[in-house]
Amino acid sequence: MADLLLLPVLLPLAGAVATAVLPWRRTVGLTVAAAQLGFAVAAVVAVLRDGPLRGSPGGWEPPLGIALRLDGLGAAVGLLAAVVVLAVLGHAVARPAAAGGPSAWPLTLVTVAGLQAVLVSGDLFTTYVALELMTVGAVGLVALGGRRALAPALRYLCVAVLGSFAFLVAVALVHARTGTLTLELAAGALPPGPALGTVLALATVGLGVKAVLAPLHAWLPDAHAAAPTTVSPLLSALVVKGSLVVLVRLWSALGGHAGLAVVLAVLGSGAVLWGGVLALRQDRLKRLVAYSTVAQVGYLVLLLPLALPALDPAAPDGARTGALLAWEGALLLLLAHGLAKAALFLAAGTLVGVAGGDRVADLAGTATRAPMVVLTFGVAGACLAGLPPSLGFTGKWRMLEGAVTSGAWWAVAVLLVGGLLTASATARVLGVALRPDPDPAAARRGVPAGARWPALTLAVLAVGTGVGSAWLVDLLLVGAVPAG
Amino acid sequence: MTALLDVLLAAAVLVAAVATLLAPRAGSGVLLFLVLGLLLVLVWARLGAPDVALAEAAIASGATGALLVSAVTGRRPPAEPDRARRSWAALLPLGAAAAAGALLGGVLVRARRDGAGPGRLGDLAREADGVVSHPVTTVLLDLRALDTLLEIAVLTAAVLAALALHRDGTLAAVALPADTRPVLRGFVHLAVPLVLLLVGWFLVAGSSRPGGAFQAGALLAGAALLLALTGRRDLVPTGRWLPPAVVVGLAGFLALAGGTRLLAGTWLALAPPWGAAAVLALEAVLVVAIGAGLAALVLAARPDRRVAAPTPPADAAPAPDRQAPR
Repeated sequence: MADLLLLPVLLPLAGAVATAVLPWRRTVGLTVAAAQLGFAVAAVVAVLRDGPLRGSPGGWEPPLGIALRLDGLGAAVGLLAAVVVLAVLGHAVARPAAAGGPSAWPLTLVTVAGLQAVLVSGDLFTTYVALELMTVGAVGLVALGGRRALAPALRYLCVAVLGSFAFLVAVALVHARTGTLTLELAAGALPPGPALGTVLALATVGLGVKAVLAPLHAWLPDAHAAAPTTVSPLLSALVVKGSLVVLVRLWSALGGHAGLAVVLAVLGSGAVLWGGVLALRQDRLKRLVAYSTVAQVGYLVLLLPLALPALDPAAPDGARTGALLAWEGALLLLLAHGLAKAALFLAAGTLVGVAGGDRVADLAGTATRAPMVVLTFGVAGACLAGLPPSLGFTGKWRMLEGAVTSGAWWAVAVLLVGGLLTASATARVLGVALRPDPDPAAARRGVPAGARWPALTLAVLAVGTGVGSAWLVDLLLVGAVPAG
Repeated sequence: MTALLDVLLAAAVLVAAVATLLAPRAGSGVLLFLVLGLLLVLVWARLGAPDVALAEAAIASGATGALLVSAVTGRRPPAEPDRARRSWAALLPLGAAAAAGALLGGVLVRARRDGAGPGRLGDLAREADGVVSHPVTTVLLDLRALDTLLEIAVLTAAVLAALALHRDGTLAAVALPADTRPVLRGFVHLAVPLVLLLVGWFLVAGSSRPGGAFQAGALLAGAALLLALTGRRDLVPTGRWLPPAVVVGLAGFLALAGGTRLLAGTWLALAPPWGAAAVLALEAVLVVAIGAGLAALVLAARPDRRVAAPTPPADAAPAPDRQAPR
């Protein structure tokens, strides 16, 4: 049992060691990524069959040792990570110029190991170290973008370290109050009061900074614009999700906080609208996609206020049903965003290479030169906007249903307007890409097939998993607090 | 009397911290930071935490101080100290931070007082039947070995990220100017064997008393930098030897994890007959990796003057002349 928890953490670390010193980086990297996919599928099957996986390394049981726990949410995000990493590394093999040099391999694998450690950790301090590992790897990856990436990478580092510090203080507070670092044990020993409020506020700010919750998002667009093509999908689709998973787990374990929920509702709605408007106004393609991440994180954060009644056993049944629907919907949206945003960033990076410039206006004619890449961009954009039958649609529909059931009409309005903004941003890019080529005679660099398929696969998965997504909902509810 | 000394020490820490933040020049700020580190070592020692005091002295003040000094001396000083930083406006965020800190301290102290089991984990760890006798080492390498493994991975990743900014992901050569004055060289020739003796002591002592891999590794890095500064560059790993030296600690830890899984059946489980020896061997490898990593961080902070910055990937940096008019 502990093998499925620890192997996905230790194998990428071993891969990082190997790719740092051995010349066969591609072979090692792809082998590790394929094995990770195998582990992730096995973990999903095991979680669906037996419930949350538990273990403790070294045979030391909590509270003395480290508690490892993989719930359905962790297994689902682990599967998402395995798929995205395999696609990204496949793209990197086909277009080495998009990867940022040989150091990208060990740093990518370290980031993956950090994310997996976040997912399996049931211990607050281990979670902190794992978040650090993920962040250090991600900062290093951003810095691979060359000289102009150094300033954004440094800003990302400072912001992320501040976020980690806030989270660490929250962990220290939990330890001081309850004498334990195991989340499940601490949850029962932390009564509502100023200590609980402070813990949640600090953790929300710290993790919110790392998960680009507006207004703490200023570092993200510059980091994305300067980062190599294969780094952006990892950053936006996976690293951001790691912090969100910790935030969701902490909130649901500790029972949430009504006052903070109002603040988060305002911030989340603001992020959806403001991020959507800013995405529409960007001149540069990668910044446009990056601002769309700010908007999407807004939806995911709305999960916390909308699902609050589900954490309260005394809440009326109607409110609980609506809250549970919103919970499922937002987590489906998290998975959909991971797949679609990874596809979108891979396609955007490839399009920038095809167009020869990173402005949206440069994209004219790319639809005739790289039709499959433009198709990928369109399909992934449709999933993000929530068009049927994509996974984004399934998630957003459930969230809407939940908001209507619990009477949160403000959330309905935010969800609909946000979807329109995302759709217009995608349509704007597609509109330019479909224009006739201004200079058809010019010699162009082609896109290798190996660089087209990974992104298209991700986009097709983002749409295809929307059909028959009942197993995903079952998976997400395994071991989740609102499910009882 | 001791209470008075404690209050004085706490006040000195606060004064040093504020002075560090408000220092008009980067150089004086770094010097004040070193003073602050020294005071913090005293605080930890006074709190009865010699392990933390040693780590603070070796890593937080020692290695970080070396990095900061290297950063400050590596660039030309500005002609005029920045006047804006000394204005009263700078005190506003400082006041806000102080208020937030005081509030947080209050909540923490209250939580500790009302807490169900203050110090419960510490007491449990002291009673735990680990393979080594020193409780801090027991926590780091036995009870919470996975945390330490991940921390080593963080350090390794940080060093690899710093090296990635140089060509080929390694340091071509030591970029520090050598100082070959005879008195300094004589001092280093005397000091390095003593430092190496101390490294060995910290390594072996870590099992039974304060000490351990992090402190010993920081000392090793200091010895390597002293040697590099006085012209013995051949003793500092560079080129193709550097990446293996940096990752050997993580590799050793992973080998221990895999080995325990294969032989004992449980990940990272240490058992009495061979457990203590395994801990010592692991710490020896960690010392090499931490020493090489910290030394590389300080050396990598110096721009590699002989080679250009890595060329950005082709699609991330489009040539300006190819951009279509908007």
